Amino acid sequence: MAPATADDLEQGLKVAYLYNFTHFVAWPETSLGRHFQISVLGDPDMAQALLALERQQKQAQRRPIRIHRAVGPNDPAIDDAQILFVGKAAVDRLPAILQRTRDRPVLLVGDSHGLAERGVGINFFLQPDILGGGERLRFEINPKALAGRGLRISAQLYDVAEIVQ
Amino acid sequence: MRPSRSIRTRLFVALMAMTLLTLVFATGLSAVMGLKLFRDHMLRDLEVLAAVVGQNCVAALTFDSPESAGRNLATLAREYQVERATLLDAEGEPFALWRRPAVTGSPGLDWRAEIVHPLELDGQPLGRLVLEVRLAELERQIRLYVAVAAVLVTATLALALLVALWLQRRLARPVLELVEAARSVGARQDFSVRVRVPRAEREIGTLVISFNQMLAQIEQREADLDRANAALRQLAKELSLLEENEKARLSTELHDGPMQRLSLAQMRFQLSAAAAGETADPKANQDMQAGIELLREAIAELRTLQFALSPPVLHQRGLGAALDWLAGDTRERHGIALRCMLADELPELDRDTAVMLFQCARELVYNMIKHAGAESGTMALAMDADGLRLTVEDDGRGFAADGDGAGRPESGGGYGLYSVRERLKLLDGSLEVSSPTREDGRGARLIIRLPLPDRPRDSAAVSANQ
Repeated sequence: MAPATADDLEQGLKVAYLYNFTHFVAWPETSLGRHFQISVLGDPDMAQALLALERQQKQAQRRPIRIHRAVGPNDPAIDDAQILFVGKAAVDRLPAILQRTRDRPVLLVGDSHGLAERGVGINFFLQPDILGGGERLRFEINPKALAGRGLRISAQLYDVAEIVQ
Repeated sequence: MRPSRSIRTRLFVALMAMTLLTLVFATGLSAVMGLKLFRDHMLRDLEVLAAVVGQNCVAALTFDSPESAGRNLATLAREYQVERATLLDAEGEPFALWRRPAVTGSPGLDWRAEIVHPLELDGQPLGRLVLEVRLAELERQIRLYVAVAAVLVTATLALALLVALWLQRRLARPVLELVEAARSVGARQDFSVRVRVPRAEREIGTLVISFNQMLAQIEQREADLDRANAALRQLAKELSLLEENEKARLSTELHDGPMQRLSLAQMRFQLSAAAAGETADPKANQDMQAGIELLREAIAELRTLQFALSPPVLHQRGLGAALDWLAGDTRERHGIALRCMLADELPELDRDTAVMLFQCARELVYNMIKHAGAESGTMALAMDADGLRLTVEDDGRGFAADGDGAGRPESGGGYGLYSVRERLKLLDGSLEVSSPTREDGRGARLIIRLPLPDRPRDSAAVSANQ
C-alpha cells in the first residue's frame, strides 16, 4: 500500500470535516428521505474518498449516508441531496448550481478560493500554521448563503469558522 | 480527700456542661451536614458548568480549533472559583488551556477539587475538560458557619447561664435551706427551727415537710423529757428536803428525848454525889464520878450526832449562823483554821434554799477535811449581780495533779462534789472549781452560784445572816 501523501491527508480531513458538519447542522425533517445523501460535483477523487463513509456505514441525522456522484447541475438526483460538494472542476457552473438549489435545504460545500463570497455556505481553505509549521485545513462560512434554506447551523460551527459576507 | 462541691455548684456545672455538649453536638452536626450539602451543590454546579463549557468545545476539538476552544475556556473567568481549565484531546494531549491570571489566595483554608468532564461525538470519545477549582465559596461558608456558631454558642450559653442560675435558685435553695437548718439544729440543738416549704418541687417539698415533722417530734420529745427531768428534779429536791426534815426531826428527838434525860440523870447523879459528900464510901464515890463522866461523854457524843444530822442553829438562826458554826466546828474538831466571812447585806432565803445551800457547803468542807490536807481556809457568803455566791477556799491539795503527783478526788464517800452539783441543779445553781490557786500548785477554790428571784419565795423566808 502506497504511503499517504499530504493531499491524501488533506482529503481525508475534508471527508471527516464534511461528515462532522452533519453533527452541527440540522436539516428540516420533511426534507430527509430514507438516506442522507451527499452529492459530489466536479471532484471524483473526493467522491471516491467519501465512499469510505458508506463503507463504514456512517449515519447522519439518524439515516445511512449515501454518496452520489452528480454529473452536472441538472442532475435530478441533486434534488435529494442534503450536502452538495462543489469541486474545483465545477466552480464554473456555480451560478447554475446556486440557481438549482436556491431556497432548498441543501448545504453547499466547496474547497476553492472565494467560493464562500460567491454564495457557497461552507468553503474549505488552507491556513499557514504559525506554531506547528505547514498548513491547517480551515473553513469559512457565509451566513447569507445559508440563510433561507431552512438549515439550522450550530453556533459552535460559526465559532470555529471564518465568517465571510 | 478532696472536699465535695456544693449541690448549687454541681447543679450549675451539670446544667452548663449539658447545654454546652448539646450545643456543640447539635451545631457541629448541623454544620457538617450543611457544609456537605453546600459542597455537593457547589460541585454539582461546577460539573454543570464543566459540561456546558465542554460541550461548547466539541466543535473546536472536532474541527481542530484551539483558538475557539481557548475562547470558550476563557468564559470560565466569570466563575471565580475556577483557577485552571485544560481541554484534553482523545489521546489525552493538552488541546487548549486557560489559567486565571492572578490567583489571590486567602490564607487559612485552601480546599481544592478537580472536576473532569468527558466529551464525546457520535458515541466516540473526543477528549475531556479538566477544571481545577478552589472551593472558595465553601471556605467562605465555613467561616460564616464558625461566626454564626460562635454567636449562637455565646448567646445560648448566656441564656443557659440565666436559666441555670434561675434553676439553681429554684432547685438548690430549698436543699441549701434544709442543709442550713440541719447544721443549725446540730450546732445549737435548737429544734424549734422550721424550713420554709417550697411550693413547686414535690420531692424536695416532701423532704422539707418530713424534716419539719421530724423536728417537731424531736421538739415534742425534748419538751416531754424536760418536763420529766423537771419532775425528777423536783422529786429529788423534795426527797432531799424530806431527808433533811427527817434528820432535823431526829436531831430534835435526840435533843428533847435521850439527851434531856441523860442530862437530867447526870445532874441528879452530881447532886447525889454532892449530898453524899465525904461520908460516902470512897469506892462508891469513885464509881459515881466514873458514871457521871460516862454520862457526860454520852451527852457530848449525842450532841455531835445531833449536829451532824442537822445543826439546830440552821433552823433557829439561819444559813449565815450555820456556816459560822460549821467553820467553828471544823476548827475545833479537825484543826483546820477555817474562817467564815459573811457579807453585810444578804438576802432573805427560804428555808428549803437555806437547807440545800448548807448541805452543799458542808459537803465542800467535808471534801476539804477528808482529801485536801489543808491547814487553813475561808468560807465566804456574798451577794452580787448574778445572785448568791458561796466561796470555799483552802490551801490544801488541788483537784488537778499537783507537785506531789496526786490530785484530790472530786467525789468521795459516794456523793462528793457530784452530789453538790446535782443538788445545785435543783435550784438552777452551779459549782465552779478552780485549782490550783497558788503558785506552788496547791490550793483550791470552789464557788457555788445561786441565782435568786427578785422576791422571797415564801413567807417563811429567813435572813441568811439572821
